[in-house]
Amino acid sequence: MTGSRPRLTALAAALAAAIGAGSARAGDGGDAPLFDRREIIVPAKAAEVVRIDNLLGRIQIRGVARPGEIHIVAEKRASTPEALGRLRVHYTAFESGEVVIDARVELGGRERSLPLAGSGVDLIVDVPPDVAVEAKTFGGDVSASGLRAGAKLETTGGRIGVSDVHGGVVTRQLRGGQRVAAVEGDVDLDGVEGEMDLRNLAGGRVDARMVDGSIRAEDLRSGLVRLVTTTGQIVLLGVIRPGSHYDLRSYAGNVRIIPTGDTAFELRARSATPIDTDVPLRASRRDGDWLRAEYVNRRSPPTRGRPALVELSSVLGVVSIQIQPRTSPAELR
Amino acid sequence: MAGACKVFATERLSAFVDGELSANETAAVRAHAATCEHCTTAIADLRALVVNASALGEPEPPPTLWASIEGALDRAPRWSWLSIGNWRPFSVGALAGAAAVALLMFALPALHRSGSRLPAAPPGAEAVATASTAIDPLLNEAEAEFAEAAAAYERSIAKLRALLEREEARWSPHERSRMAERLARLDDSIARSRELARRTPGDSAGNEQLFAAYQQKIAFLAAAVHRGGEAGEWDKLGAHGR
Repeated sequence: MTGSRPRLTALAAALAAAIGAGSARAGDGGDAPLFDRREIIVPAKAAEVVRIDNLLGRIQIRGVARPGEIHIVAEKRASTPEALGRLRVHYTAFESGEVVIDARVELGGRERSLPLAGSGVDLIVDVPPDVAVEAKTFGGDVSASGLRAGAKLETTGGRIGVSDVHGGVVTRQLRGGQRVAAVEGDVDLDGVEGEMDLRNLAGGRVDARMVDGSIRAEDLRSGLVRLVTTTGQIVLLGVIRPGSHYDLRSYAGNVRIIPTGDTAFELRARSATPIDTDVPLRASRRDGDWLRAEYVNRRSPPTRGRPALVELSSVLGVVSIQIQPRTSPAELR
Repeated sequence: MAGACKVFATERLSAFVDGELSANETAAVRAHAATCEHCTTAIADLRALVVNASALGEPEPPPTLWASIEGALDRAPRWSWLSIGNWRPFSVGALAGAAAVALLMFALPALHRSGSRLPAAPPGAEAVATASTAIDPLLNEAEAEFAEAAAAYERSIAKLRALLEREEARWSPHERSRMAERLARLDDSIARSRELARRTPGDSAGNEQLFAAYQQKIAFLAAAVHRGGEAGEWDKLGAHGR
């Protein structure tokens, strides 16, 4: 890669409307933060991808705008008018179909993209559903919903939220936790600290990696499900789908699956203690540290083609398979 | 120093230093620099150039400036009038002027009220501006955020290191030695990136490179811990761990 930037020659980028602008203090006290709210609608007829870079605060992206328009709300906060005046939001549209929205702070005569804590800018960006979105924050939350061309979200310390998205979803995070729900597309999630909560995912694959935190997944309908954490627990609830491959691994935490259907599956499991299961396993045999077995419920429908492969591994924890939850739903979280 | 690297041209590295690349390009340069000594050194040199230039009474544009400006003008949106008020061609950043052409700013009512529109930095003002940022509360906020994130990375590394020690006890001296060698290389990358970030307070690109180095070590340690549970498997890890 040589890093050549897409041609920047202009796409019509106009300030179509500026509404509801104004600034005010949050409270009566002189020390209360100052707020400024700006709302604009910009034309973006040729927009294919929207990149939002806001290290100064939060980003909320909604795929609800009319085709050809991007609606931006920028809420700025600072303790003094001088500091408020140094927070900027830029919008740039390129002929390539790329739209860039970024927030900066003026420091020493130069605008920079820097994380701020007490001061900052929060962005709410409504885009047409069919544009791809990439967004990055530092300490602020980042969320995306209603998109139909996928999303890539990155944050250092904010929470990540994804819901109702078609297309691939990619996340990168240091800490803060992730909730990803109702995605029809491949999912690739990566986090260092925090909890992951995955629900109702239906792409070709789900790949979720966490270092120091737990992963709870429910209703995953992908052909390949790979959930890996180093120190946390893994819980998977839902129907095991014929032909799918489930690979759940924790080094130090427990790994538990709670199948809600009767699908037969092949099991490979490794655990620090004997596998804790209340389902009947047959053809059990040891293969080094691994237990190999088959699960065939009396009510299991005849399997056509390849059965599901379920691999469960915990080096220091317990692997368990439950048909019916023995604990309340709240305890499963 | 490693031999010359042709993956990124100097102009792109300069744009990286100035924070003028797109998010994708920035990530690509950062990822590459984490493993390329030549580019890491080149980036350090470019940063030093910017810092040194800002301390001069009449800063000279860096050799890549005109090529970058020409390139930027060629790429500039037709609607560049929208940002003309913000164009400061010889500001502290080597390429700040070139990139500002493409920017549209949402002006603040507070700015208009107070009449405190920021003037273009005159030649020679950079040294003063740099000095003033040292006590700027917003810069302090940024540095605190960077420090907090670095501490979080360090905590995760310490946890993983403790887990890995448990596995290492089962390894041969040769395996332990090779692991130590790899970790030393990753630590060296972190140390170099930390030094680069430390040189310029509020340097986003420098801190991003530092965080990329942390991420690389975390990925490697996590993969080594998992594979260490499968005796001797860690040695099959690639350069990026996972």
